[in-house]
Amino acid sequence: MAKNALIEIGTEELPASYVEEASSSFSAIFKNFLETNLLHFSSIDYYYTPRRIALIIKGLQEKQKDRIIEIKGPPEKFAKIDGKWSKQVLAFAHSRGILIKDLSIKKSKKGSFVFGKKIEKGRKTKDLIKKSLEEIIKKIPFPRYMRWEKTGFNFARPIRWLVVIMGKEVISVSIAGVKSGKFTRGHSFLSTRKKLEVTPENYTKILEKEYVIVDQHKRKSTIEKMIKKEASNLGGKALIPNDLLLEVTNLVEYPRSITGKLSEDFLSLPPDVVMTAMESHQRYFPIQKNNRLLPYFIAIINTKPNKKIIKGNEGVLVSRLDDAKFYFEEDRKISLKERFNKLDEITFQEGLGTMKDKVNRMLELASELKKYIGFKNYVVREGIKLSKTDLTTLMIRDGKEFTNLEGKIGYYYAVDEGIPNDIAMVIYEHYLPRFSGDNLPKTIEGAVVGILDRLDSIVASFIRGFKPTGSKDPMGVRRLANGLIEIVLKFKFSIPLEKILNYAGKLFTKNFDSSEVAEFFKDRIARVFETNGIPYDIVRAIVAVDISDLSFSLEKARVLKEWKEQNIDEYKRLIIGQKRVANILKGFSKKSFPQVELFIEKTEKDLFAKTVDLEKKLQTFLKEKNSRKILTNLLSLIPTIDKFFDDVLVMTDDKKIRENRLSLLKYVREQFLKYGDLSLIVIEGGE
Amino acid sequence: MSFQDTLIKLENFWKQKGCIIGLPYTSEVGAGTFNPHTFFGALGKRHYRVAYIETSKRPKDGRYAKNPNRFQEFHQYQVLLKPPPSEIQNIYINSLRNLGIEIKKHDVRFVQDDWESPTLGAWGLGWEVWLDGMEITQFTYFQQVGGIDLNPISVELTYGLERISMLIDGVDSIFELEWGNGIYWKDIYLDPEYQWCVYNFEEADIDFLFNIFNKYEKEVKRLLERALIFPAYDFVIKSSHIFNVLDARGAISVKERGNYILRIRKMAKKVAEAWQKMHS
Repeated sequence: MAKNALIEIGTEELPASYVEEASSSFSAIFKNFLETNLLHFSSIDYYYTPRRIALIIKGLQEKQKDRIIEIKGPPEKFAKIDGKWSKQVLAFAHSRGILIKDLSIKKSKKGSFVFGKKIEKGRKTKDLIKKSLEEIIKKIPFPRYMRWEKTGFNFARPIRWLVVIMGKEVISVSIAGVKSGKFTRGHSFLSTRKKLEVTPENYTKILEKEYVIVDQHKRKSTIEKMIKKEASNLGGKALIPNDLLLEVTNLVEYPRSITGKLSEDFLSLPPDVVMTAMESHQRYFPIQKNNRLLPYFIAIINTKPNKKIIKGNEGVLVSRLDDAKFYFEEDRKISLKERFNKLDEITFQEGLGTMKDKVNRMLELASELKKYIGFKNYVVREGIKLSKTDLTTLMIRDGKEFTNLEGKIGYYYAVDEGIPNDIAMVIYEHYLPRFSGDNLPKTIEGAVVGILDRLDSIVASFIRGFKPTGSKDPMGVRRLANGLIEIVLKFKFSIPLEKILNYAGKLFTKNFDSSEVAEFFKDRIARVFETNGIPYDIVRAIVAVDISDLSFSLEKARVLKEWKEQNIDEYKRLIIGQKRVANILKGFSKKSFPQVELFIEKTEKDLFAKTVDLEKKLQTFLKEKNSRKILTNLLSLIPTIDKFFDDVLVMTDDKKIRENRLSLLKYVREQFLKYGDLSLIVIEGGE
Repeated sequence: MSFQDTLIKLENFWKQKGCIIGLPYTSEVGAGTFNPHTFFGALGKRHYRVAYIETSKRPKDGRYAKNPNRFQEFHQYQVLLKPPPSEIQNIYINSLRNLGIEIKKHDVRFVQDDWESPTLGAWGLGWEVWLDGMEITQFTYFQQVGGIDLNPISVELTYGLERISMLIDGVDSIFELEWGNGIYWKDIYLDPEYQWCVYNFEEADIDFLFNIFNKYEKEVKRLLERALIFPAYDFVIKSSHIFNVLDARGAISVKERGNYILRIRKMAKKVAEAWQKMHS
């Protein structure tokens, strides 16, 4: 007969960001346990609050089915003496509990052996759970673990109670010094019942009576409704970022909403400051009306509301905003332009001067970049000078929540001082994207300064020896490079990246060698393209020869990938052919052009003529950046190349002829390199 | 209820829970954790329960006595329980009830806070305890101190005394908080608070402080060579405070900051290791 089961791990408050992942994994691990043990069940659901993670398994089989199993015994040569089972076999049967009649000789891959059949009794589900639960719970993943008691058990927070029930029966286990039982706990302060007996069937209902909404979906939708209602009472609209809503859902067991009021004075602060104070530290929801903040906030609390609670929350927010106001008023005493000089009080990176030095380098780099990109020079130069000035403000130096507003604060202060909007925008936009998936700059000038800033920081980190390796990337260089690549792609800038990197490095040291950082960039480009669905090796092949026009590279990679998908055999032929050409040219370094008079075979004359023709065509298509046409024309040469290899012996004894043939192949290869170094592509299943 | 009554109630509560009532340390500290009662108390096998008030000096947090919630000097009530009793959360809540806080009429929350003291090489997991949105206590299960894995684990409770007193007393501004016997916070601390802010932000002699920081660092090394662990630790604490003043003074750049913290952590680690060696 099938039964329902309940497992609840009761804890001290788990971090809000841990519980969903932990609970869904717990459910998956438990499901896997049931399946590997051939235990049938009809459903498994998980629930969580900050103080519990629970599984309800419905229709769980009470025991495994009996199974017939076969056990391998001695090899056939020791099996029988005079037609009877040997002592060895009898001992085997006895030790394994196999009846003589169930013995037989069978062939297996490794030869013939005695096999014994027996019925393995299905084990009871509760015994299997009892045996495995501790191991299962140990596998629940958390970002960080702690110890708290003498068995040294690892979990995100201390486990304080355990409910493990199947049907009506407690499965008794002891984990982290806690013995399982049938009693759960209600809300920490609202529930008055000490011993709260539950069953798998009444679990959620009993808890609801004791002020715990254990179903996270229900809790979330309840909270969302409450927030919306509070906001509409004020005639406004609540800002409900999904991650904040999820966090708040996982901070309470018994959600109730309150609305707090603020003095209007605080609305003179930059709105981002007010919102940060509300959201990031207090987990409050701001309210807007006609795109302006209202002097109110909504808080989700974990108990029944009263005036004291509202007043308390208001006071806390006020004290945070007071602090912001103190910063704001102090900051405004010095204009951003004056702050430019204070940049030499802030170190950029150890041994590499101050932020002022960095800004000066960015200015020099801007002049260089101007050769390749069209932008408003004045806006970029003024933007660069102001770009880092907010680092000297108290608001940013706070070191706590407001520090995340770097760029935004600069923008607000600049606008406030009457600096033209396009320049102010540079201060904000040059930090974008701040993380993967973040917005990109909208203005060319913001994008340009973002590129300059990143180039400088990346090169600086390489110079200091902080190049990223494996999981280590102390200066966040990968993120910077990814951001730079995304900006370049968005704006379709053509920048000779290697040259610019070299230029940027030379601003630090005359002996700068850009090869290492260029190699790093090629890898990054491939990673970014990968997220556009392009295989890594294809991108690597394409960026190996040129990283001066990333949009064109991406296009070339895309075209090659699409063609590959429809012509896999031809694709293999192309790559193998290119590898062959590259291999044969290894060690051939003569800079010579093939000479017609040295050709002997018709095929080589043919290949030469066609390559000359191809080169001409490619010139036009390269100008047009027409990847498709370039590829088709290159492909048209393949039959001739193949025929060349069939008909002509390249490595002939005659040195002159040999070198002429190699020159021809080099000339051919040069055409293909205009697309990419296809010989670098990996062919599955060998070559 | 006055500040001193709150303090006395806490002392009595924790005394009854088997704590010895310790005393604040004699050098400036940024937090009660620096007190040897906690730093050394958490190390090693010995079971230990201690509670004490600590004066916390955090130069950077000063606001020239303009913000009624932020000051460069405040008081913590610090409890260390090693090993932690399994009903510790309850005991803590009872300590609040004992102060006259009606828990059911407030919103009490345990909000994740993975605590770390980079200078002490100490970290632990736990919470900020919120009362109606206000952080009133830091509740931490220490996992490491001085870079050493702890066994048994200790739990550390750090009450923000002024905040809790203000809450109990029902005043919005610390200035109006009664210390005791009709004497108010402003009577005792207003002028010092302002003057310390001027010192920390404007007057502290940067060269002098860098100079003694370096000397203190050397002293730690020298004393450890002579196995004088407690005096060495005292100089670790002193350098940590000097660093805090320099930081408030704006004398240490954002990037250099990490470097200084690392230097102090190295000292703290060496002290912890020396202590460990002596007790193993």
